Amino acid sequence: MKKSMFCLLGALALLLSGCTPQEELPSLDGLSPSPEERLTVYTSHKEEVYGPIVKEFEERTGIWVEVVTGGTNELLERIHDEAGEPQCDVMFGGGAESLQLFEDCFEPYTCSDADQLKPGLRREGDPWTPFSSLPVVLIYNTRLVSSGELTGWADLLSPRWKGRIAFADPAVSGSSYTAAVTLMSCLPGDPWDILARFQEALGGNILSDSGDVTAAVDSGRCSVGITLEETALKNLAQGANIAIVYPIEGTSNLPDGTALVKGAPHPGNAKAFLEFVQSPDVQTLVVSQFARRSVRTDVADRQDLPSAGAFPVISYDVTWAAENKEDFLFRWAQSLEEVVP
Amino acid sequence: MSRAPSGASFQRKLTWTFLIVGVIPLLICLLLLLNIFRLSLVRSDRSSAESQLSALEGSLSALLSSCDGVLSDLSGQRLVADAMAQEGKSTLVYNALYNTAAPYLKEADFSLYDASGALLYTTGRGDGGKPLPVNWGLLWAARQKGNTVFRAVSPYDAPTRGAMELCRAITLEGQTVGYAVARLSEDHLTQLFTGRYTSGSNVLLLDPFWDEVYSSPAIRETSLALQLRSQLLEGRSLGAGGEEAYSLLREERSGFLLILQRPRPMAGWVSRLFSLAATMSVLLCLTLSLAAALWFSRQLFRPIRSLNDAMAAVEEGDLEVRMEVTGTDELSQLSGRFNRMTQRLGENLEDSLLQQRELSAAQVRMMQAQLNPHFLYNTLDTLKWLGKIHDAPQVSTISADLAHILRQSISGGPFVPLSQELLLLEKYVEIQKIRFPGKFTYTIRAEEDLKQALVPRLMLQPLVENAIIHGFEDGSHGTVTVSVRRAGEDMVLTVTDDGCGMSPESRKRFLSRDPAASGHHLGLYNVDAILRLHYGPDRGLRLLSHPGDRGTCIQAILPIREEEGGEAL
Repeated sequence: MKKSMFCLLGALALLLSGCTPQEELPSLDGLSPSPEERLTVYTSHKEEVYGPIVKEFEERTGIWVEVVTGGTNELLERIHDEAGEPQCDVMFGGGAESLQLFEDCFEPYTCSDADQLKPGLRREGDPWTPFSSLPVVLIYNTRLVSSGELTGWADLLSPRWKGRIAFADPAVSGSSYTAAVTLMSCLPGDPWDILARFQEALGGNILSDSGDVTAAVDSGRCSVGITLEETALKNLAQGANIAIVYPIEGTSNLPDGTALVKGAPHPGNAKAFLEFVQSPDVQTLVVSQFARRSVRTDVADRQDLPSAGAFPVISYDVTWAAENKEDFLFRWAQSLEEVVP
Repeated sequence: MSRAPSGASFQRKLTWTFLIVGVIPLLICLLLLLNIFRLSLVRSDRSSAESQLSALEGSLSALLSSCDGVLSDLSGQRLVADAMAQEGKSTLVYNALYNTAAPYLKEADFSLYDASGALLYTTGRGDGGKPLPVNWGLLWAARQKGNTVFRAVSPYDAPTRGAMELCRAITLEGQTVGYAVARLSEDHLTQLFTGRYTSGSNVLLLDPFWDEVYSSPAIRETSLALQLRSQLLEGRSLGAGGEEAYSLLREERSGFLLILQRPRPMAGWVSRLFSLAATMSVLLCLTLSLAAALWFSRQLFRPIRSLNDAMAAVEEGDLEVRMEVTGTDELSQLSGRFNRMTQRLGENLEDSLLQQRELSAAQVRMMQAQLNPHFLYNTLDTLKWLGKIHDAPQVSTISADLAHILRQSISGGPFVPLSQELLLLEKYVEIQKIRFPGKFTYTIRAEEDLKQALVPRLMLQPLVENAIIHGFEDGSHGTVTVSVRRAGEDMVLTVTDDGCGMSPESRKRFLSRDPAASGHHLGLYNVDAILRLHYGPDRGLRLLSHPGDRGTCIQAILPIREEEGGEAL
């Protein structure tokens, strides 16, 4: 009797909850874009960079862009994992080296006006197209270091600023690794020997994030630092107490890139996006809004910056850097232990 | 028979019936009500949302159309076009600008930019004179389209500039010389929309790519536009499963989308309240049904159980049991009938006991009439031989006849063939003829085919004896006639004498069928009783009046039965 009563009550509750009328939801027919009007972009850029570009792309082409943000390596790993069934069309952002490492996931694409690119930025067949070029620069605290004291990479190895160099851990920061390889390439001698001397000069003072470099120099905790021109310029614009030095030995001018994912669901739209980010209009924006350098010869860099020819630029061997990264990180960690017992 | 399960099942059936009859209609009613309630809520909510949305769209559309009109007017003025190329500012142009835009100065800001994107004239406060990029965004689009373009102001470009811009290129002889721009700031839109939607709702204005242009103050920090956009791109319905409902309407001129967000009509608390009320009423109904079922089953079950008990007692043989009759309903009537039934049953039992007792008494009397047979045989045998020795043939005849009669009367079953009974009668008559020589003559008429019919033992002898002893007690002479004839399925045995007949007193005594009162006619009474016992109460002896009022005629009508396979009846 009791059991059947419970059954009855259960059926009752089911009836009460199950027979509620479905509310009509607003119809999205005609509002939702068709697959031909879509594009998925993974980006490691900050919103202030990708936001206006994506918006303008949408307005000009009528293509709906779905943006997924994340760290460079995180997104590249994701693209790698999705290789069987790619979700992403375009990887927007990430250093050339990082993109090179995941060469297998990308389809090389040469933009229609590639002849307008600055020379040496992209080799034919590279799996990415350059978006902006980011020279590695030295900075110093204007109160602690007088103008002309810091001129190039060699000065960093002198005992003068031992332990007072702001440098982010290359194991964490991609740009820091680029900077270290640049240092090793710019100075004469065995690169690993130069690395060892550099580590000695650092004296175990390693910053955990590349964003901390300017702050460390600005606050006076460090006298000099190594960072990207873009970062330095942005901080300078915010009134940071720093000055920029382009090393006399030369520096790298590695671009960050945009890459077409192999087997992308919307390849046509993806190519349109690649063309767009390299177009003069976007490159103008790159220069005027983002404190970056254009990759095009027909888009002039900011007037207040030294032109690309004004400081020596070495040819950075992306392939070597990609191939030797593991070796580098191994040596880095090993000698760190020696320096910091 | 076990009482408890039958009671329980009866009760269960009743309970289920009550539950089904009580709860199911209630449930159906509740569901119907709930659905009607929901439906009407949803409908009224939708129509109110639609009217709000169309009011919002109407006002936005009107404003955009006005601004568009101002822009096309401005771009068409030669004065304005000429001024774009000139250095310095002209009050004439300002006059033209203010005159053209006069009715809408509160609703929007209007500005004029030159071909390089530099701000020349504005009705607003301006934004520090920062030039607009010519190859980007608004101005680029205006130049490309040649008509008025509608754009959301990108938050990255200039956070203070506004929410929405309209722009139209000013051309002079095919050359773009400047741009006329109308700007709707967040404040302008708030002012436009306020009062056109209910307080619980929120308004969201999205551009054609679902990026936020404007949102009402309450949801400004929620990045709702982003959520809705990702829902759209993932193909999910807006607001599915959430607490809010959404309605959309596109403003055709700009392609911008107005979204009205409002709380779901069947909000959580209404739903909960309704469910609570429904549950309460169902529980109440359940309780009432159970109580009613219990009450009814008690009402019905108590008298049925006592009736059941009483019947069990009757089964055990107690006919004295009686039910208490309390009411006038069907069960009480049943109790009354039961009482009458047991009463009748008791009476019947008593009757049959009495009958049995009477039969036994008759048999006892018959037995008493039989003396010790062996002694009698021996004596009669001795008498017969004495008669032969002493040459007294009558003595030996009487002795032999008497021995025959005795043997016949005490051996065998209760029924004998008629022939045997007639032989016995002959022996008896022989004795009586010797006793009363010349007193009577005896004739017998029996149909031959009835000789084998069965009759009760010793039924004729008492009748003939009665005729001989009592018919001629006044010393007269006469005839005794015994006849047996067939009458259909029955045979009729008649013993007639033409003697003095029965006195009216004797006749009355015999008819009273009281053995004590029968007196001299005890034999008649016994035969009568035996016949009644064997063949039924209406098959007793009949006294017929003799013609001429003399003599006695006694008749018995018996069904014809013959011995089958040696078995008596």
